[in-house]
Amino acid sequence: MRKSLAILSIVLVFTALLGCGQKKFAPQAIHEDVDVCAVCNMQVKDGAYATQIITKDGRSLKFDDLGCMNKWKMENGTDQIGMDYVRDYNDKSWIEYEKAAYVYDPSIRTPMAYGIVSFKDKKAAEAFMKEQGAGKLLSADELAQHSWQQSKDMMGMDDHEHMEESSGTHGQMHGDGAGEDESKEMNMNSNSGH
Amino acid sequence: MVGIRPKRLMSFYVRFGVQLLIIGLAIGICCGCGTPSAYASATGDSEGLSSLQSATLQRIIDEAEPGSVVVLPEGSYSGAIVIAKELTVQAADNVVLTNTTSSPAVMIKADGVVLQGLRITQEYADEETAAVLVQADDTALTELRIKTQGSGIMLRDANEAAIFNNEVTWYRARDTNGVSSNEARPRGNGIDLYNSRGSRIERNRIANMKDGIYLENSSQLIVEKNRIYSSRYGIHCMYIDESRIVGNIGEYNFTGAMIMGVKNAQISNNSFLKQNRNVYSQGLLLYDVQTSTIERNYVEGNRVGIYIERSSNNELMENSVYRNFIGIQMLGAENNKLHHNDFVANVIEAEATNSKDNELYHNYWDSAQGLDMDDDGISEIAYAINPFYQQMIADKPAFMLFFQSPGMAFLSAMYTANREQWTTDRSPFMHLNVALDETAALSSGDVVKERVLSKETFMLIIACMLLITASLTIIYSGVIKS
Repeated sequence: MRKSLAILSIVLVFTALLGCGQKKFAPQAIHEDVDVCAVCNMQVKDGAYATQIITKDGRSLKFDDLGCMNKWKMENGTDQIGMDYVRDYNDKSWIEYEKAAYVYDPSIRTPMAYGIVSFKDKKAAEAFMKEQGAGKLLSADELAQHSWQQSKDMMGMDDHEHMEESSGTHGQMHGDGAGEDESKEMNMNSNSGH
Repeated sequence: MVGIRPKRLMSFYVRFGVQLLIIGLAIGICCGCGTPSAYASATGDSEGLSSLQSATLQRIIDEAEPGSVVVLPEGSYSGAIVIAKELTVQAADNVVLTNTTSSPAVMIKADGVVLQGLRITQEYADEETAAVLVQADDTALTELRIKTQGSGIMLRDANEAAIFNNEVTWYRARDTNGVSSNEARPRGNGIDLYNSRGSRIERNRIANMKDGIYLENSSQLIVEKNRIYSSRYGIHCMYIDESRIVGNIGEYNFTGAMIMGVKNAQISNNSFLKQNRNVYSQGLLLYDVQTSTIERNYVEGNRVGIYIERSSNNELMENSVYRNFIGIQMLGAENNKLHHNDFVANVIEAEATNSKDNELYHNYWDSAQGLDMDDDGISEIAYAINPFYQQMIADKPAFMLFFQSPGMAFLSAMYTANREQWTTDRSPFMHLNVALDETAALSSGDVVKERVLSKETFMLIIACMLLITASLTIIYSGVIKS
């Protein structure tokens, strides 16, 4: 009897350990009261712009803007990342970063002004672009080539970004003239701001 | 018989005294209620006087000659209005505009509009809907009293505005049981600027909103002497250039001032007190701030007094940092100058990680071990900021539980790795830089005035005391006589 109990407990321990090995890195819920962006320290709103990294040791890092998550990856590398998530713009469900479709336009207002929103599929993204009459569809792979320019009138806030700007491929999208008019229009007829 | 009489007499006196006491209390309660009830009836009357539709108000505005002055007669108006020509709209004493539509209560589309003294209640609940929306230049908004379920004053591509002496507060909607029904709804910002240059925002009072004053993508702003209470961030700057933030007061906000993506700013003489409701509360937070001056601010009783991250080439001087959990916290802040600041009675005075090439001198650290050999008021022992705790919690936030525990203090004291790279004040001051009473005056100049008892309350207290004394005398003398 005692022997079988011991075997049973050993089996149990092993299954438990196995379970630990196959961590799923599930996204965690956002608590607006305590969650601040791991990069910029701003409160993370439980909305469409929130993003999240679950590290391999199970820690959840939350960001208020996709741009902040990108900044974190640039500085810390991607080795520690178990899974990274963005949110669908419409229903706010968590989607894996790699699988989401992205729309960028300097006139889209996001908390840190990176101007990128995420969608669970291309169709939703295209519908959004049609509705706004602006935007550029990007996949996760294409985001790697993105300039990550924040839409603000002052160019080159610091050297770091200045470099990005000059090497970026979408630099021409931030012209002072056309972009500004567009942003006026979009701010008028959409609540895409935060 | 003779034996009973004094007893009766005594009980009479006691009863009389008790009655007097009860009457006194009742009077006191009535007096206390007196002011608000009088106020309520006054507004009630005015609502009865005239209940005009928005069409009338809109017609008054439409019929006015451009450039003229319109004085709105006392009364209640409803609906949204649009001002599309240059006008000065002044409200008489009691002009209330209530708006339940999804458009802003007042929309200003023409340059040079002046709007003064109106009371606006924006009842449509939506974060993005403003009570007053300005889309034109040279607007003056003064003495407006706004209650809103959305946001307060919004400026979009509007330059050179003057926003003075307004009051913006969250409108608490109550259901039939008097229970607040919109407490959890998302709030809008008190004053919200986007793409607006050269505006002045002065002496406004904002309470219970999301961000008190939110400034994005604008330049040459002057934000002066505003007071912001119980909001998320008192002043929130995103991508602002060449602006002055001076003499503002923030209390009980999540963070007093969130200064992000800012350059060439002057942030001075502000006081940010008691920002400690949230685990990540700060008095003053600087993120990505370049070439700015932060001087003579007073931060007290916050979780973190001054927080600086990714900011460089700034000058922080003569700030008073009192009684915070962490006085100053630096993260990746380089090439800043910190001098003549006072750090007093903070649990941890300073934290610094990855912050190279900052120039620290002549600060006063009240817990530093100083030694002044040549009696010049400057310590010969440098004060180095230990990064141990901050590094620890950066990796494992749960270790915040050990904040200032004896073990943590002991480990911190043991930790000396790379000491030469720590942020160090090479010549700390032995005494305070900024005189204390000066800072006290600076922090709460007007607030003190408010705390003084009003005349009525004072009289009430005196009356109550007199009544109590009288009752006690009667009870006492009754008992003595018996």
